[in-house]
Amino acid sequence: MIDTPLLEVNDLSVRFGSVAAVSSVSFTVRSGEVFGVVGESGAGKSATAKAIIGLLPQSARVEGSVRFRGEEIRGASDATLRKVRGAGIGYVFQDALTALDPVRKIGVQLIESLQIHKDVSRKEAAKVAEDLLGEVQIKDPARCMSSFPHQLSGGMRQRVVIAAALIADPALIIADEVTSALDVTVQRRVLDLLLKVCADRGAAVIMITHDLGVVAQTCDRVAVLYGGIVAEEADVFDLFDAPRHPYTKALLQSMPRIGEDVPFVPIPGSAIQVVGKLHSCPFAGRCSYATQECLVDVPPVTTEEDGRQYRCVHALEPVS
Amino acid sequence: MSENPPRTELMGSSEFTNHHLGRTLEVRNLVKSFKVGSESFGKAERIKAVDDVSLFVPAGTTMGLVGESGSGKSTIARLICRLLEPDSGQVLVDGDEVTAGTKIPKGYARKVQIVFQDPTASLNPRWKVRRLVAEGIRVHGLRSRSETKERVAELVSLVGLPEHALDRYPHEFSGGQRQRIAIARALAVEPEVLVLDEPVSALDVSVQAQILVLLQELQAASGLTYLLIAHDLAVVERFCDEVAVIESGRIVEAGDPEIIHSRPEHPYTKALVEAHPVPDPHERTMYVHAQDKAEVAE
Repeated sequence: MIDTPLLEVNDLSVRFGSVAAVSSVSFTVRSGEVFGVVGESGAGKSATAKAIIGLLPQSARVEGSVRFRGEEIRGASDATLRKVRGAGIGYVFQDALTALDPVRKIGVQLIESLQIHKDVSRKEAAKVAEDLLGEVQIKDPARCMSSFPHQLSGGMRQRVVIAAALIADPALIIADEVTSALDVTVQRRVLDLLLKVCADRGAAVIMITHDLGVVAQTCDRVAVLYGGIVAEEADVFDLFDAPRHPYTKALLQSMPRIGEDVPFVPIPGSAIQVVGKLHSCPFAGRCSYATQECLVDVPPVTTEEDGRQYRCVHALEPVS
Repeated sequence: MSENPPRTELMGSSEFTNHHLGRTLEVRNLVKSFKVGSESFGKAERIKAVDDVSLFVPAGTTMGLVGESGSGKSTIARLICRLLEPDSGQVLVDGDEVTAGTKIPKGYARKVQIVFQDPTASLNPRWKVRRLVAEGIRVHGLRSRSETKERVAELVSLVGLPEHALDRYPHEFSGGQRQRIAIARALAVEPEVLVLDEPVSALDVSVQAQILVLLQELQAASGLTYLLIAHDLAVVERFCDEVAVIESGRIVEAGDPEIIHSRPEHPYTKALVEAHPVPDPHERTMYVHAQDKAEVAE
């Protein structure tokens, strides 16, 4: 039992009509770790996250396996999924305003989220909710409980959404671009807080983001998505120190950095949308290392001894 | 194109074709306040969005304006382009003086162009690129019809778009390509100052660098003067000759981009720098990791 990973995603694919949003994505998340999923728009980050807890619309075709604590939840019944969502896996949405019901008070929404999963009285639930709001550093929890979402600032709303995701004590939190809409100082506080409350409870986090700065600051391991595949998966230090996939390297080089006089190098072209079945490396069209070989098939997964993985036939040499 | 008959064709003179020197941009004591709340509930008050802001941007250089949302950055951009009227203060561009309460000099709108954050919202979805880029040239009557056609093709290639882009609609392009169209559109009227209001923040990281490099190349080639509004400190530090940090409508610190990484003095600048997520796991400052480190040290 101890060896069962918290979450195992295996060969997950998501199609919207003819568009392949996610193609054969696999990764595992261990208890208590912060696992980053990074990529540009259209890379398949959110589709992957939503597929994990069955939040995609009916029109999406999902294949593959998602095991949570060893139990298959991909294609599980609504009743099973309802138990997993909230109590097993909490989801923090990007847009806090749409994640909250605008016509009901914060307290009512939090109490309801808890009562669905735990057999507690309304009064007990209210106590838990108020304590939790204090824990996410809301100054006046009682007042917040009786406020409507529009009466709170963006940073406060994001804290409330984090509280709502945590209230039933899940073992895994999926944080879907939680801070992208926030100012940098607020982003900083919200991320700090999310890491702290999750660490206090021993909850693992899947941090979905497009921001490599956020990845470097928060994650233990990272999967880099491009064109719906995992281009590279590695320990965060290995990834930044010695990227093996040309896309990871190019992405790191395209970032302007404070205080470094190295020119930033753009990646030519723009991200692709995969229509039909993917049968080449999705990055080949923008890659300076690409050869004919890259266009024949999706590169196979190479796994190194330390568990590091990448899909590239021209993998960059490890830097010693 | 019958719905838009050509304007009087008086242009084509060398005055507009070759001369493309960027000029200085100066802002003096600009003030703008907005009314907040409703008078009928007795709660109306005026909030100063821009409070006595002065800036001087030498010709051919880039001034960066950083601050968080609500700090007044975009209001300054709109005041400079005269999309908003200031309460008081002046904007000076190439000898044209725009003072609060006075009429805008003829041709001012040509000299100062703006590129907005969201190219999807700033480009008319029903117009093809050809017409989008040509609009300014026609409105300002800068060129004859045949010259306009030529110039539009030139501009589109200048911003790195293929020729067939001319006959396409904005929705057929990616975000980065749309921003290129918006830049071509701004350049079409041969401006002297470009106000760039968060031009890359809606774009993917790899595409951001493309647009920044394009803007740098355009400036090197033409000597345009830029006012770059951004919230990303790294972008501002790397891209600008000078930086002004703005908080609650006031410039709290200004000078060399150095102030961002090595010598921030104002507490607000310090807070911005400290909150900036450094893309290097060896330089972690987050709470949890800081604790880990403390434990290891013990």
